[in-house]
Amino acid sequence: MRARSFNKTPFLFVTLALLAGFALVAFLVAALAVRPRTSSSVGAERARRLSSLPPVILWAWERPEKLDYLDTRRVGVAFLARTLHLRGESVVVRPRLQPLQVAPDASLVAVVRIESDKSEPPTLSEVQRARTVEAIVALKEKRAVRAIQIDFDATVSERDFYRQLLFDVRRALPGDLALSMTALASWCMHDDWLRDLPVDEAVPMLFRMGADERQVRHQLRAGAGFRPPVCRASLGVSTDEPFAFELARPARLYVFHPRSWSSESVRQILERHPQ
Amino acid sequence: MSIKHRQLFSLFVASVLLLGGARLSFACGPYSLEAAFTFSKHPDFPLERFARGEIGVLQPTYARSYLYAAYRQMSGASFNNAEQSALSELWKERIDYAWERKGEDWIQKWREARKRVAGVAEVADISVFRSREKPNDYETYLNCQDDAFRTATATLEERIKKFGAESPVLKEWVAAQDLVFANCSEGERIPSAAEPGADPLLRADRAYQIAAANFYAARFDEARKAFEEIAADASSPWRAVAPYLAARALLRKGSLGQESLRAESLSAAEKQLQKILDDRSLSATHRDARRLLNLVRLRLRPEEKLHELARDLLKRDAQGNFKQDVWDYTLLLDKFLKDDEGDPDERMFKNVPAHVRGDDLSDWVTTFQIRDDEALEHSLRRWETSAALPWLVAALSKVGAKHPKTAGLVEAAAKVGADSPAYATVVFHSARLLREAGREEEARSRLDAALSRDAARLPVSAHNRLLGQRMLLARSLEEFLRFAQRTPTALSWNEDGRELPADASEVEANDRAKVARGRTLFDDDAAAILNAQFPLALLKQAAMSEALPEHLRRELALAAWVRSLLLEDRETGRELVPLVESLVPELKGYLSADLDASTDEARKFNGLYALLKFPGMQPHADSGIGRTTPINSIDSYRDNWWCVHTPQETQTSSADGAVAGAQTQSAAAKPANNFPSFLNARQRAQAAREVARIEALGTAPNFLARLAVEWANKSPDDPRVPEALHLAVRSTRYGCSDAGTGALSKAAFQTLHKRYPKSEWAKKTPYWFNG
Repeated sequence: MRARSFNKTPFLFVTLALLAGFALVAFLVAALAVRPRTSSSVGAERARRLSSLPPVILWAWERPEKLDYLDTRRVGVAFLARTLHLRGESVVVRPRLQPLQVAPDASLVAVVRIESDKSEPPTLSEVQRARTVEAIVALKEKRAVRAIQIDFDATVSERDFYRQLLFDVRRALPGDLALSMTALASWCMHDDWLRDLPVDEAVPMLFRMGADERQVRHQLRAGAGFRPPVCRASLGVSTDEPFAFELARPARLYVFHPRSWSSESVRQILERHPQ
Repeated sequence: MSIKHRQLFSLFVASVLLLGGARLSFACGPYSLEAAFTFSKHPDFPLERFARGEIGVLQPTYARSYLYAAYRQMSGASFNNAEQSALSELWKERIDYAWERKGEDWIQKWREARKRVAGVAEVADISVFRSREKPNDYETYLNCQDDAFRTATATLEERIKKFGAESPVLKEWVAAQDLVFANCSEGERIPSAAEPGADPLLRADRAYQIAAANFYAARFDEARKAFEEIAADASSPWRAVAPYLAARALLRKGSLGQESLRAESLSAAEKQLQKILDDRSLSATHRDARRLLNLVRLRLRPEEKLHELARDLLKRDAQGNFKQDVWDYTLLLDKFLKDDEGDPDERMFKNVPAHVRGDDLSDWVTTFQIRDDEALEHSLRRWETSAALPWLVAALSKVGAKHPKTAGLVEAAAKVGADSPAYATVVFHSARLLREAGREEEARSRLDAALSRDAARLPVSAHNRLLGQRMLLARSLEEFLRFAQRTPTALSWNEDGRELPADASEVEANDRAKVARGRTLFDDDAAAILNAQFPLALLKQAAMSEALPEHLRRELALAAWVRSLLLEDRETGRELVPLVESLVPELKGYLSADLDASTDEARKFNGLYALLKFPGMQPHADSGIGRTTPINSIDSYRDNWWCVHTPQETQTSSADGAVAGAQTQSAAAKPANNFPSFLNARQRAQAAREVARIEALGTAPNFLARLAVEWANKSPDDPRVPEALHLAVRSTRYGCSDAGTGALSKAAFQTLHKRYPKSEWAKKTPYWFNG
C-alpha cells in the first residue's frame, strides 16, 4: 500500500475531497456564466493588496507612540485603532486614546481588537455582527490606512461568527484595501479553519502563546512550518520573545514592543531583519 | 456638562496606567485557567487588606500606588477608614473597566428621559469619543463624560415639571440638546439662539447649550466667551457654574489646542480658577475649582506638584482630595520615570532625573524599584542616615549575602516586630540572606516563627513566598515535601499579564478550577526541583511519602514510573507498580504485565504499550493545575506524549519563581545554591545524568514510534503489536512532534500496513503524519 501523509487533517481531507467533487460540478455548471476566481488569481489579488505594505511593520499599541522618523519605505505602523468589546447583544467601541505621530507618507494598518466578555458572553447574533462590521469598516476613512487588521482570538464556538464577519468586512471594504488578521500560531499549524477565509494575510503570532507555547516553539525550532498559504506571508513577533526572530524570514514582519518604540529599538529590529 | 478630574488627567498626562492595562499588550493565547501562587503586579485580593496594612512580602514590581501605601504604613502612619476606602476604590478603578458601563448607563438614561417629550424622534447612537484634529487624528479623547448626560437628564426632568412633556418648547429644548451631544464624536453643530420672546429660563438654557456645544465641538475660545457671558447674566440659573466652565474651556485649549498656545491657556485657566476661589458667591463650585486648579498646576509645574503631593500624602487623616492626590501623584511619578521608554527591569539609578527623588517618598519608591548596585548603595546610605524602616526594607531586598553590610541589615531586621507591616518582607529577605551565607539554622528559625503565626494574617502570596524559602532549607525529604505544597492565591486566565483573578462565576463553571479546589499544588519552584534535581530513587520515595496528599503522590508516582521505564531501571519500576496501580486504577493490568515480564526487552515493550495507551503519562511532574484531561484521553491543547524538557528550561522556570526572590534583588544579590539543603551533590549529579538520558531519547512520539517498529521487528507475533503501531502513528498526530516525527510516523505506518494489512488497526490507520 502506498503511504500517504496528511499533516494531521484526515477528516478534513475526506470532506474537502467530497466538497471538491461537488465544487467541480458546480463549477462546470457556472462556468459559462461566471468568470472563475482561481487560486492563482486570488493569490495575485492578495499580493497586489499587500504590495503597498513595507517589509517591517511595528505594532503601535495603546501607548503614546512617536514614529514620525521611520523610513516609510522600509517600516510601516499597525496602530491599535479601536477595541470592540462584545458583551451580550452589545458592541462597546473603545477608540485609541493615546497619541500616535507618523510621517505624512507613512503606510498604516488600522488594527481592531475584538474581545468577548467572559461574564456576559456575546450573543453572536446577526445584529451584533452587523454592528461589529460597521465599527471595523469605519476605519477605512482614516488617513493613510492601507490595510485593516483584525485581532480576535475567537474560540471554536465563535469561529462561525468570525468567519461571517470577515466576509462581511471584505465585501464592505474598497477593493484596494488589504484585510489582515492575526492568527494564533496553532491556527496556522494544526488547524485548517483559516483556509478559505477572505483575508489577504493571517499573521501567526509567535508570542504570548499561552498553553500552546511549549509545543509551538518546539515544533518551529524543529523546522515545522505554517501550512495554510495565507499564514506564510508574514509573521508576528515580539521584541521580548526573540526566539521567533531566528526563524526563516517571511515577506513581512510585524513586531510588537511591550513599551513605546524608540529609535534605538527600531534600529535593532531593522538590524535583525535586514531587507 | 461636567467631566471628572481624573478623566481629564488621562487626556493630558496620557498615562498608560489609567487606560487599562489590557490594551497594553496582545493576548494571543490560547489561555487556560491557571493557579496563581504569588502576584508580582499587585498585592493579593481583596486589596482592602493591603490598605489595612497587611502588605505581605512587598514586591518592587507592584504598581506605584501600592508602594506609596506600603511606604506610608511602614513609616508608622496607617490609613484611616476613609483613606482605606479611597485607596481600595482607586485600585479597583484602575484595574477594571466599570467606567465603560457607567458611561453607557447614563447615555441610556438620557435616551429614556428624552422619549418622555412628545413628538421627539429616536436619536442615533451617541459616541462619547472624538478624534483630535490633524495631524493628531489617530488619537481620540473622551469628550462627553457621564456627568454631561446626568446633567442633561436632570435638567430635562425639571423642565418637564415646569412646562409639561407635551409642550412644543420642550421638543425644541431636546432638539438643541441633541445637537450638543452630536458634537461629542465629530463636527461642529451649534444650536441657534433662542427666540427673543422665549421664556427667560429657556433662553438661559439655550445660551448654556450653545456654550456646551462649542465646548464639545472643540471651539474653546467661543465656548469660554459664551460661558463668560452666562456668568455675567444675573438671571441665568447657570451663572454660578459658568465661570468654572470657562476655566475648563481654557484648560482644554491648553491640553488639546496648539502646542505653542498651551502654556498661555493654562496660565489663564490658573488665573480664572484662583479668581473663582477668591469669590465667596461662587462657593458652590469651589470644590471642583480647587481640583481643577490642582490639575492646572500639575500641568504647569509638574515637578513642584509632585513633591507637594508627596508631602500631603504622608500626613495622617488627609482631607477630601486624598484619592485624587494619590491618583495624580502616582501618575506624575509614572510620567517622570518614563516606564514606557525602556525596560523597567533595566532602569538605572543614575538615569533617574535628580529632581524626581526630591522628597523621601519619591526617592524611596524610585530606589526600591531599581535593581542596580547604585540603587542598593543609595538604600544603604539612606538606611544608615535615617534608620527608617522603608529604607531597611529597600536595602534588605537588594543586598546579597556577601556584601559587608549584610550582617548589620539582618540584625536590624530581627528587631522588626511581628505586628509591623514590614514583618513578612524582612523575614523573607533575612532568610534568603542567612541561607546564602550558610547560616541555615537561623534562617529556618526566622521562617518557622513567621509561618507558625496565624496563617490567616499573612496574605497567601506572602505565605507562599516564605514557603518557597523554607523549602530550600529543608533538612529532609519530608520537610521538602511539606513546604513544596502551596495553596493558590487565585485562579487566573492572565491573558493580558495583569494577573487578575477570574470571576467567581467563571471559576465555578470551569473544569480545571474544580480540579484545583481545596487542594495544595506544586508551584514552578518545587516542580523544577523535583524534575531536574531529584534522582529517580528519591522521586520514588517522594511518591510514597505520606507528607503529600494523594493527588500529588499520583503525579509523582506516574512520573517516577515513566522515568524508570525510560532509564531502564527495572528494579525501581517493579517497586513502583503497586503504588502506581493503587493511585491510578486506570493503569491496572498494564503495569502488572511489567511484573510478569521475563526479560528487560519484554518489560520495555510492555511499558511502551502502556505509554501508547495513556497519552497523559510523562516523566515529569506538572506545576500548578497541570493536565486535567483524563490520562487515557487526548488533550485538546495537545498536551499529550511529552516534549523533551531540557534542564536549562527547567532551571529558568525555577529562577523566575519564588525560589530566589529574584524579582527583589540587585545585581549584587545573585542567588546561590538554589537547591534544597538536604540534597547532596551525588544526588544532584545523578539527577542530571538521568535528565540528560531522557532528553537524548527525543520527543515522546518519536521515541514511541521508533520503539513500536522495533517491537514489530522483534516480536511480530505479539497480538498487541498492530495496535501499538496504530497508537504510535496516532501519537505523532496528537503528541509533541518535531522535524524528525514525519519519518518515524511513516515507518510505523508502513510497518503496520505491510505486516498486518488485514488487521482492524491497519484499517483505522489511513495516514501517517508529518509532524
